[in-house]
Amino acid sequence: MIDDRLKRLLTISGVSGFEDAVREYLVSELPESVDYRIDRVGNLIVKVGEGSPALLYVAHMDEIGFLVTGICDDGFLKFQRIGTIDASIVAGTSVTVHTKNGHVPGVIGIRPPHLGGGQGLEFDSLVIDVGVDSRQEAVALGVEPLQSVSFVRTPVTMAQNNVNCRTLDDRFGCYVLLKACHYAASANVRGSVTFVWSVQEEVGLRGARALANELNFDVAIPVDAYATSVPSHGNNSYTPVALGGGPVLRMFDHGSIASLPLAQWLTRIAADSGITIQAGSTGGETDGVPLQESGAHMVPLAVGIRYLHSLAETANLDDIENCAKLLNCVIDRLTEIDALV
Amino acid sequence: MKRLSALDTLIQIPAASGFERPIADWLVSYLDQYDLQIHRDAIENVWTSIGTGDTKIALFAHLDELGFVTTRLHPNGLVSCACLGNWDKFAYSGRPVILQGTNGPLNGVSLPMSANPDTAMLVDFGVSSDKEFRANGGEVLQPVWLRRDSVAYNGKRLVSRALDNRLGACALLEMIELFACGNLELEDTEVIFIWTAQEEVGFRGTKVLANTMDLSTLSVAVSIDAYPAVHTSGMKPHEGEPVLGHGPVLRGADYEGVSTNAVVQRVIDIASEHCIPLQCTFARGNNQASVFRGVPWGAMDFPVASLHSAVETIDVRDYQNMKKLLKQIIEQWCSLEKGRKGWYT
Repeated sequence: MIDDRLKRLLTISGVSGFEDAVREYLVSELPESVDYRIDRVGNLIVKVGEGSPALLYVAHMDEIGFLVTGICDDGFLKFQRIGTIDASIVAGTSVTVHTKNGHVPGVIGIRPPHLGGGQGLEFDSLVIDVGVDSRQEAVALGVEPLQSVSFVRTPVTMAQNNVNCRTLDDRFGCYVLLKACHYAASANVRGSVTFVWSVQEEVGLRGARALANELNFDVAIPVDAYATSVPSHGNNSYTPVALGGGPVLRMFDHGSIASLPLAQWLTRIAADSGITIQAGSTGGETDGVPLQESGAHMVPLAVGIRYLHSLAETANLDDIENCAKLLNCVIDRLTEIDALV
Repeated sequence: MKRLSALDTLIQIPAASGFERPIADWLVSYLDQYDLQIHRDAIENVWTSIGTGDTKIALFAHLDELGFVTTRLHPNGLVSCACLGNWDKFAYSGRPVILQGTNGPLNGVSLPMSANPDTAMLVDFGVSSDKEFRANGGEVLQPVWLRRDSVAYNGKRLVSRALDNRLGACALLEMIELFACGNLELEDTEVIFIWTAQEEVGFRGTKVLANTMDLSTLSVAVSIDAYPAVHTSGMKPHEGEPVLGHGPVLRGADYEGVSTNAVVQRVIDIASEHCIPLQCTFARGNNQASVFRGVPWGAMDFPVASLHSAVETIDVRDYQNMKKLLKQIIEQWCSLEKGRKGWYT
């Protein structure tokens, strides 16, 4: 079973730069006892406790998607990618255009195999069909350039308590932070824990960069995806992790090398708490990069997700829940951070 | 927007080629409400007829859809699948899928091309071994299809998997409904409605019927199917003439041969007389009606964008116009034949 809050977070649209609906939902689900603020770029920030040690949990609200860039005379929409999207997954998908009049369903068509199929299709030749025959009809629907477009997605459970949904990256992280925030609000926090649901991670960690310019932390733990593959399948040199094998310490990626002392401490906490964890090296980068660059000990805590940035994104629900438990355990042992810094 | 009658139900029942039994069961059950003699054969073709007379019109629509079948279980839990029908890898890679296992449906995802550059389809059902897959009801030779809910929008479009050819199957049902309600008049005419199996893998259902039915008395055979429309990303105008919303498509010829010219001309005349928009084209592909060798044949299609994908798209107006055209063809064919000694006089 998928938790209702996770299901809701997976379903809400929030392409980078258009995270409002995700943020509104998170605000509505925050514990009543905490105060929140939204910074100038749109990061949602909640601080529980005061002083040091200062711990940061961050997860990004945004998702990959598209931006309407123009309306053709025949009513088709031209668009551009927001975030890293392999062109091979775009054709033949259902999308939602987020207009001023509401959500407009559409389709990015695909050339049928009778006529050569998708092979050789150039991204620039793709258009969105919103079921109109002219520019005027599209405008009447409320469609305008610079509106966001998201993939249609439905969370479904699979065997072994796995779950498939396009937006697991990083709505699972938003969900985990929400759970930890509720825990912290009722716990005796000795120090401070700041929860940040960031914006625009998929287009260059822009929310986290703004955060790193404003605030300082002793320890920063971004909660994000770990791109993995099926063990014994594929031929890249990254570390495959098992779905259901526990949360993952993302020790090496394209943007950072994680703090070894912090990783060792997290490993001890996990072991003491009976939580199995994994560690590995993968691609991409996280919101932890600018925070590490501003001086914090940083380890990305992740959940293994297969087929990242595709409609086939798959993760394990137990891993997600254990990730949330581990965050709670860290809050319980906050004062031990002093020995690290 | 008003949804298309029985089409919703037809779409919801998966029926990859060779796995048509559930949809054939539903069809037979649905037809039970009418006082008809229903036939069904070993390959899961279903047919029935209305009216009596010397003019005998056979209308075809296939029940099967593109799908996959599990062929090999790997030790790491991944499952190889073979394509049933003419798939393009771009249309199924990295998509959610459903398998009909022995314990019920099992959700999975096909590996994206970035994770599976090979040509064969690989599916991850969330299990870590072939043993786990079997424990969840999986096995080789089970059907798999793309997961996709149908969506109707903007009063014009309907998007779904399997519109090819549930549209045709549903249009035939609607002709029977019209007849049952007294809104379809037959003069010395018998209309035989044939829902075929395994069209997507080579007209195998139709080939069975061609050998088992008496074709000598048929006046005409008409296939109702789907045709790739030009309103598709990445397609250039020269890659297909039909467009969504401009009416049904009449095949002047296709890879199977040239349609019987007299049939084509009569359909054009009927459409013109009743102001029904019609698009005429040379078709890529072939059609079922021509399998009935020796019977005058024609083929009419729904223009479908993104054909053979999970987002097949139609303009609802084309569906309505196809129904109008079919009704007129059925009602007028008898009178058009009268006074003619043969098809070429």
